[in-house]
Amino acid sequence: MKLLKILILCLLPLLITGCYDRKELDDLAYVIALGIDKGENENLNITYQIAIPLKISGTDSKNGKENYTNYTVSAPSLYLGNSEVNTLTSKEVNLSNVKLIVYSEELAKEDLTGHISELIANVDIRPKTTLAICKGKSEEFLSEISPILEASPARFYELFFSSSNYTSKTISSELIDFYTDAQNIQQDAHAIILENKKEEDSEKSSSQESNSSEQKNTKIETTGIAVFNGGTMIGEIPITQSLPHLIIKNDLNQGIIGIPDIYSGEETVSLSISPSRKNSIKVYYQDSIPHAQITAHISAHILSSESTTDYIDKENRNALKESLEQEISKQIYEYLLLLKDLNSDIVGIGNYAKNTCLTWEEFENLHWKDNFKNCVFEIKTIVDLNVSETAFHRLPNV
Amino acid sequence: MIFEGIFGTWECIAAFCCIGIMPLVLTLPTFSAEQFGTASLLHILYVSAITAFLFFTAFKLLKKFKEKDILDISHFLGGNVLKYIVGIIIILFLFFETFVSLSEFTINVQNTLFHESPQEHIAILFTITILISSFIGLKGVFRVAALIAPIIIISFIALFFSLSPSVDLINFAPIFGNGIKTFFTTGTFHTACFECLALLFLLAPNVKSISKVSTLTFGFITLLTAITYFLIFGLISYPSVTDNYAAIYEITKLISYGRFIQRVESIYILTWLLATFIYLSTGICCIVKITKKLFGINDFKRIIPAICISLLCASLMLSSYVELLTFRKFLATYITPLIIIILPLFILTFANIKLKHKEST
Repeated sequence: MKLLKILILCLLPLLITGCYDRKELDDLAYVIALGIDKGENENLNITYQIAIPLKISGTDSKNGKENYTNYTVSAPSLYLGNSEVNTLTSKEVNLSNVKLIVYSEELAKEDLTGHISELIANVDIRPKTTLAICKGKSEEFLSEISPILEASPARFYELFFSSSNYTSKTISSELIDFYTDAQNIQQDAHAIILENKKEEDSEKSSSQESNSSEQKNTKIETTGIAVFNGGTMIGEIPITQSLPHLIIKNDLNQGIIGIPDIYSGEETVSLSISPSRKNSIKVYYQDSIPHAQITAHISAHILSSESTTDYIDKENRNALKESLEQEISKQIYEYLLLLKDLNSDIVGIGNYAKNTCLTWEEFENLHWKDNFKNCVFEIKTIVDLNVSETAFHRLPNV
Repeated sequence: MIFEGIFGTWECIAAFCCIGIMPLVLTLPTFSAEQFGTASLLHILYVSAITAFLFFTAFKLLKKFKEKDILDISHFLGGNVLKYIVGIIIILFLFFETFVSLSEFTINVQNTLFHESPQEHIAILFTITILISSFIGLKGVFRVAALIAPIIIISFIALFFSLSPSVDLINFAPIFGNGIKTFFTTGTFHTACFECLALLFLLAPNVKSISKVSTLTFGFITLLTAITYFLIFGLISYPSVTDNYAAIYEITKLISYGRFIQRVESIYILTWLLATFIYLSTGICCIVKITKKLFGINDFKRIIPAICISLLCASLMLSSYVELLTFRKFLATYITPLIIIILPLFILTFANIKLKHKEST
């Protein structure tokens, strides 16, 4: 009898769960990218890029634009946009696979704080989703994207935006970082700027495309770093400055740098660089002016040299080491000057200014964001230079 | 004795660990962030030291009363009047703690997992589980905890190893956060994360070795709390960390190993559900047994459904999440330290004086 009672009680919860609200995987439309533009009458134009799984899967899967479709709706918020787009699609939209969120530059120059809070509050959207700003309308940007080398657009975005793990020519830009930085008083937010570059495909033979003129491929490209003050975009820095950004933020994994040969000054020596340890950043105040001492620790390996200089020789190597140290310090300094001009601390030097205070109130009284433009930088780079084994065999005179 | 039988040492430690993680999973880290800012981790270490001193003093005083729980000691000190007062205070505290936790966890589960299910349905699911476990008894609950606790401890250690490389130590500066005064004055009795240790005052006659259980439980809880605070405050900088009332859930969303291991928060929610089950069941079992002892109810099983239904109704009473958080904050900041440390210390100190006086005369 006792067992029966327990059994009945155990079965009771099963009656509560129903299947009326069940969701099958193929009943959902998976959004892979969101584009948000300024619309009319205080509305937003939200573009949903939805994957077409049937075209991605299978042996005859293709790259390019065929694997996704775009829907654009006008709504005051993302949630309202979701319900709008649900009236246009045969399946319910699901945001759990969003890999990219793009805001138009026009909207970013107003204020993104409220929009980002809404995205962060959405349980489906991952905090590590890439956040980007695009030139022109995000609707156009998303409709022109043509994934190459990858059939799945979601995987294309994932791989494309993870390239900062193996190159120093771009940076990562995540939703959660933007959200926290935009609210902070010790740091400013940043995001990557994306552009679609059209180029003529010269290899396209006339026999294949006899009726069309020249086929144009659109390639997505990171062109800059959008600099924010709070949630408002105040300027941009070319992506060529990504290396110093990564070094100061301790985000550098590995990169390649080219510096002129120490004797000729014309040929280039290519070196792979990675951090040998974390940077040391110290902020102190002198006559109410903030000073930031930044010491970058870099481990470098000579990959190749176009010159005939023997870098196995200790003296030459030391000279190259000094030259590299000066080059990196110069790049960091120039980058920080650009930030100073914009008065936006996107690399988070203010975080280290907190160390000078015992309490948060003391730090607030420093008014870091207002004082960043007065900051004096002292940059030092310590390079640990090695000649890689492959270079050893290739280098001339060895 | 409130409970019958003897509980194993590991069973007790395991159950206390499951109970101890509940405040961490819910809003306690956010309350700390609001009050102590960047000093929250340091504050936890400071509070751990204070709690260790206070609890071990109390357990030392308890040693002189073998085979007696806090109600027996209250009876010894102030007769039936004090026994009833202390008993009712403990019942009310346990009831409030349990229903607020049920309500809070139900809302969190609804927000994260079951968006379309009504809150009532989720709360009923929990209540039925608690009802069954209350019939089985505290020994059964503790035995289940002995199986669950290793999973929970391993999940916390895995959390630490997955996320610690991303922790930025600079987020812990300025070291005294929202002020030295707040840190040392109002912060001194923020002991809500150690509330599970207070159960030892009720279970003392049923535990083989109080010193072993209390020391190991304290060690585990301090470790789990320190890991949680280290990760939350090291990953999400202040003041953004105050925005989320389920901060630990937010940081589990950051875990990913390549493309294969992602969205592990669902596994963490499962472990927290198990811990919630232990937490709520222990609360109800204690309420039932204390009621039985206080009012001499022979067939105590008859009051279990009544208490569970009251708990369910009370948990649905706080309709607004803001209301719930205000109530939780009040409970954790002002009431919990009073009930779990001050009250037992007060009773034990005077009971010891009375015992000494009796022995000398």
